[in-house]
Amino acid sequence: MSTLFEIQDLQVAVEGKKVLTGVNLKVNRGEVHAIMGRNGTGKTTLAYTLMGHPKYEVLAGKILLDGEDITHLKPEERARRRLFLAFQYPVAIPGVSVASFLRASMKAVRGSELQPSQFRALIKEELKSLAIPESFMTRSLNEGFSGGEKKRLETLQLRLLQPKMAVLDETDSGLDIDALRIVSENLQNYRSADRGLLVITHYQRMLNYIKPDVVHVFGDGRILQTGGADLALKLEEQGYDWVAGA
Amino acid sequence: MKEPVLFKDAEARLNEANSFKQSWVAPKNTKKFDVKMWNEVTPSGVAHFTIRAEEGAHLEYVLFQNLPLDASSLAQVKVIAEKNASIKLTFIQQGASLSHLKIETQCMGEGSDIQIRGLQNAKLRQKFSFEVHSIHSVPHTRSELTAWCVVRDQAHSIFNGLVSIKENAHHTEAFQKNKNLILSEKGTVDSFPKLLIANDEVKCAHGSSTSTLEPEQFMYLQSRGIDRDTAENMLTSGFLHQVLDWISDESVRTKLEIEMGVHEEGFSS
Repeated sequence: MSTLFEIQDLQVAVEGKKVLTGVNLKVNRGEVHAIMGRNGTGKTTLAYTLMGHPKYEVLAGKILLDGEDITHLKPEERARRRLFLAFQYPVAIPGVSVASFLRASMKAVRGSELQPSQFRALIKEELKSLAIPESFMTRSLNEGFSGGEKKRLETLQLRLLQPKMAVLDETDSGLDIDALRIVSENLQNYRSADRGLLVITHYQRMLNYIKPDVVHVFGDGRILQTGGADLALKLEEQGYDWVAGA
Repeated sequence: MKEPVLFKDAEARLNEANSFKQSWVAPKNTKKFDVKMWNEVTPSGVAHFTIRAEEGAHLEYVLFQNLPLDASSLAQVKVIAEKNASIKLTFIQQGASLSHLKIETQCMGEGSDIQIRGLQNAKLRQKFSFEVHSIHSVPHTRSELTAWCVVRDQAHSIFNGLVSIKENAHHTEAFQKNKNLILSEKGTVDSFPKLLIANDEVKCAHGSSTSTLEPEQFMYLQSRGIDRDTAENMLTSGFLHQVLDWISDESVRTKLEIEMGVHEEGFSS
């Protein structure tokens, strides 16, 4: 298996405070990696940094996608290279409809615009598989959406934008049991031999659907321990106390 | 702090005898929707409009000022709702180099309700002023006004809002908000929301906010491949749409979206 995504000794500061202290991670094509860890250990900082959020300052290290150094690219340039972040708290944008947003983002990432009829047909199919009502398309983006609705919309975007590497920042939070199953099944269907997934989560429940190949324990701004799928089960049962440095 | 004015002689000019006058009335117990493109109603100059909903009538009105950039506009609009009547008014100031709009709303009958959404879309060196006085003189009435304003380049906008609740106007609900979005370093805004309440049994609120575009909104759009300039256009268009989407008639809404350059194809086939 060849390397799809690699993080090398990534050190990051937020507003002058060092949060990531040296993250190393390699995702091969077709692999799903999970990151678990206590609150406040830097998991979301990692997710934002990977996507190029300007608030996060890279002090050292590299982010490589398909061998290309993307550490200093703008967020939109990363997205066009098919890196995707499912946000933990997607921001509301009043007055911008979901449909016009999806149309703009698909055009930007795919490099060409779909015919209106093709766009509608594609969206309708994906809406159905995520059990999202069509009326969502005319609502303002994420405005007044429940936590579960936001996460479904993030998943919809992932499916439409077809990234080769996706980072999911607590996509399972805010979902009820049925929504968790629907979202997880869609993510599992998305999995393929040439794509990679990095799932940041606190719970085993999503990993029951999307079986990870590798599980990392995050603490103190870096990866403390790495193991197989059974590591997530052990964390669920025993917590983090036994992990050195957590 | 002294309140700025655009037209120092505005009051005197509004009282000129030869100014343009027009009234629109929804007769008793009727429903009416109308839109007036300012340019079609009156040329550049001084104008008075009266919008009245008689008892039990429901009136929706849209006023759109898109005069040429070398024009100036000075207008006064009286909005009057009688007993159990409602008025929904959308106004947009987009054209003219100098534009002063003065609105006085009067909830004159019990159960009356006046709702207004206004939009100033200013660019270049345009100077817009919006002055509103919401008057409640009888019990059990309601008014709500939100004035949005986008300022680009070296444009300047002024908002002067006043809610007056008279002594016997108990059980009044009155709200005024001014939301400003500044898109340039040299664009400026002055905002003066005020309340004058002579009664204890009321629900009242007013406020003003002025901001630039939110970095987190930029980040979200950029993370979906959208470049910064396009993101700025989308976010600004979204701001304008919060007023335009309020217009119930789709054909009017579409016409205005096209005039303002923010029309997008809908989703349904």
